[in-house]
Amino acid sequence: MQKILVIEDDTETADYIARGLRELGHTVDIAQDGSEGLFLATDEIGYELLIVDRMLPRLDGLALVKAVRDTGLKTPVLFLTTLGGIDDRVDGLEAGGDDYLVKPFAFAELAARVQALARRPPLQAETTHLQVADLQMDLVKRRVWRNDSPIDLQPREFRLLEYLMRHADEVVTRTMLLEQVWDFHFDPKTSVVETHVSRLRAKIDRDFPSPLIHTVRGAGYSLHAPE
Amino acid sequence: MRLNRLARSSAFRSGLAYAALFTLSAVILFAIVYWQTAGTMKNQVHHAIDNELQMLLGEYRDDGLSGLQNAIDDRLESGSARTRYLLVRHGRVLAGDLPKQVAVLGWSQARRPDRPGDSIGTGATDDDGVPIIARGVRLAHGGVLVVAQDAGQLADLRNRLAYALGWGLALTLLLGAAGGAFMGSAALRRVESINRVARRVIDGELSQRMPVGKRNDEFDHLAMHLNRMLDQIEQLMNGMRQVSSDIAHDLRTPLGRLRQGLDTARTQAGSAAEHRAAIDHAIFQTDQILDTFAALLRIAQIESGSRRARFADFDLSVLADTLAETYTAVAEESQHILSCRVEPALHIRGDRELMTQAVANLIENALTHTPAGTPIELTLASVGQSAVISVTDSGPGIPSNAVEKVTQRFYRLEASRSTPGSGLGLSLVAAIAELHGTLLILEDNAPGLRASLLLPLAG
Repeated sequence: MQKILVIEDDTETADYIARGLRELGHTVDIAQDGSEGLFLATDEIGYELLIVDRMLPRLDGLALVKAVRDTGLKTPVLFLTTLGGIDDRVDGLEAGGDDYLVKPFAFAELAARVQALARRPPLQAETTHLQVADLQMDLVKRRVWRNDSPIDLQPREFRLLEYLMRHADEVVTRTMLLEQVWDFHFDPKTSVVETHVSRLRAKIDRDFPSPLIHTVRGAGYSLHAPE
Repeated sequence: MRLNRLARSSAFRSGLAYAALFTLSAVILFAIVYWQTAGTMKNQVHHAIDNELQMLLGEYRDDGLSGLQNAIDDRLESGSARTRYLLVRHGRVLAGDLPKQVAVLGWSQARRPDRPGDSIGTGATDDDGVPIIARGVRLAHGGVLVVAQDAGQLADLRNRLAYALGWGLALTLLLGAAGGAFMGSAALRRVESINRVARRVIDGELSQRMPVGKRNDEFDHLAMHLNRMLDQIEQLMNGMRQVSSDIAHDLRTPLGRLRQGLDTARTQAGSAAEHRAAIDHAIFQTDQILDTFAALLRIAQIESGSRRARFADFDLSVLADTLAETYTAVAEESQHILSCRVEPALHIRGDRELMTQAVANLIENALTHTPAGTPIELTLASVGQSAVISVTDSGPGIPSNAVEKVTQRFYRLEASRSTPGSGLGLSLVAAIAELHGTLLILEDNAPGLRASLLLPLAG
C-alpha cells in the first residue's frame, strides 16, 4: 500500500478522500495549503503519490507541481480540478501532472485513478506482447488470440482491449476508458463505452467457459484471470 | 456654464491654437515685408543724396563757394520738392532751405519745418515738421554742405504697415476664436447628444440608441459603432437574464425530486436495501444536476474564447472516421443505421477536443431524437476552401419556427421533453462553432434535420 499526500484546502473534501484511501489501506497525510504541500512533498517522507487541488491558498496547484518537478522528483501527481474547467487538464499535464479528475467525483473513480498511477510501471523497453491468462495480444502485428484461436477485432476494440490488458487486475472506470481509448474529454449521452465493452466481451469471452472482462459495480470494469 | 464647457472643448482649443499660429506667421510676414521695403527705400534715398552731393561738390571744385551757392539757388528755384539743401559757413547760412541745426557732419535724421523759415526743434520725438534724412560734408575751404531728402514716405510706409498688421492680427484672432467657438460648439453639440444617450444607458435604459446623422462623418461612425456595441450588450444582457431564470427554473424540478426522494427514504424506507436504492437514486439525480452545471460552465468557458490560444491544425477526416467507427456500434445498439461518407485528409485549424465533442453531440442528438430504424448519415466533404461536416437524419426534424431557438440554452422541443437531456447539447455545439468562427447550420432535410458546420480548410 502507498504513502499518499493530499494537498487540498477544503477540509471536507480532504477528509472524504483521506478516509476512503485509508479504508483501502493507504497511508494518507493532508496539507491544507500550497506551501505546506510543497514542503511535505519535497521532504524526506517519500510520498508515492500526490493528490493536488488546482486552486490552493498561498501557492496554487500548478506552481506547486512545477516546483516539485523542478527538484527532480518524479512522484506521480493526480490533479483535482473544478467543474467545467476545460483548460485545466492541458495546463495540469503541461505543469507535470500525470492525471486529472474533475470535482465532484465518485470515490470509485478516484480509487481507480490512484491504483492506475500507483501501478504505473517504470519506463521500460517498448512492450510488444501482452498476456492475461490464455488471452494474448501481439502489439506489432495487431493480432489477438485466446486459447490459440485468433480473434478479429475492430481498431477501436483493439485499443480498448489493449488498455484493459495493460491495466489487468485493476479497476478501470468508464471515464478513464473514454479519455484513454477514445480521447473523449466529455461525457457522452449515449452508452459509448458500454456498447463497445459488450461487443468486446462477445468476441473475447462468449465462447469460453471463464470470462476475463468483469463489471465492477458502481466503478467500471476489470480484466483479470479467472480466480 | 455653457461658455465654460465651450472653452474646454477640444475643437475650440484647436481653433485658438490655429489663431495663434496664424498671428505668429502674420507678424513674421509683416516683418519681412517691412524690412525689405524700408531697406530698399532707405538705400534709394541714400543713393540720391550721395549723387546730389557729388554733383554739388563738383560745382564747388570748379567754381568755388559762390558757384556752389548759385547751383543750390538754381536748384531751389527750379522747384524740385524732394531734395533740400543747406550751405553754412562761419555759422551763417549761405544758401538752402533747411534750418541751421541740420548742419551736422555725416548721416543724420532730422526734421524740417513744413514751410521754409519756420522755426523747428531738433528732437527726433518732436512731432513738428517733416522727417528728413541728411548728409553733411565739410568743404575744403571751410563750411558745411548738407543735402537731405524727405523721409516722409518711409515713415508713412512704417505707419501703414503697422496699421495693416494691427488690423490683420485683430481679424485673425477674432476669426480664429469665432471659428474655434463655432466648430467647438458644433462638435460639442454632437458629443453632448451622444453623452446624453450614454447617461440614459448608464441609468439602465439599455434600449436607447445614439442619433446617427446623414453626414456619414466620424461622429456618425462613432454613433453607429456605439449603437452596434449597445445591440451586442443588450443581446448579451437579455441572454444572461434568460439563462439565469432558465437555470433557476430547470434546476428547480430535479432538486425538488431529489428532496422528495430523500424525504420519502427517511420516512418510509425500511430495509437497508431500500435505503441503498434511495441513496443511489439521489446520487444519480445529483449527478444530473452537476452535469447541467458542468455543461453551462463549459459553454461559458468556450464562449470566453480562451481556448483559441490552443488552436492547432488537425485532420478532421481522422476525427470523423473515429466518430463514425465509435458511433456505428452505438447506433446499431439502438437500431439506428449510421452511414458515413468521409473525404480523406481534410485539415482544419481549431480545437480537436471540442470539435470531437461538437460532432459527437450532433450524432448523439440524431440518435436520441429519432425513432428506431431511422437512417443517419455523417458526411465530410470539401466545398471550395471549406470543409463541411454534416449529420443528416430523416427523423421528425425541427419545426421551422423553433430552428432559431434550439441553440438557446435549455430550449427543448415539446416532442423531446420526455427524452433525457439537459437542453444544452445544441447550445454547446453552437458555442463551439462560434469559437471556430463559424455557425451551426440547421436545415430541413424534408423530412428530418441536417446539422452542418462549415469550417475553413487549413493551409
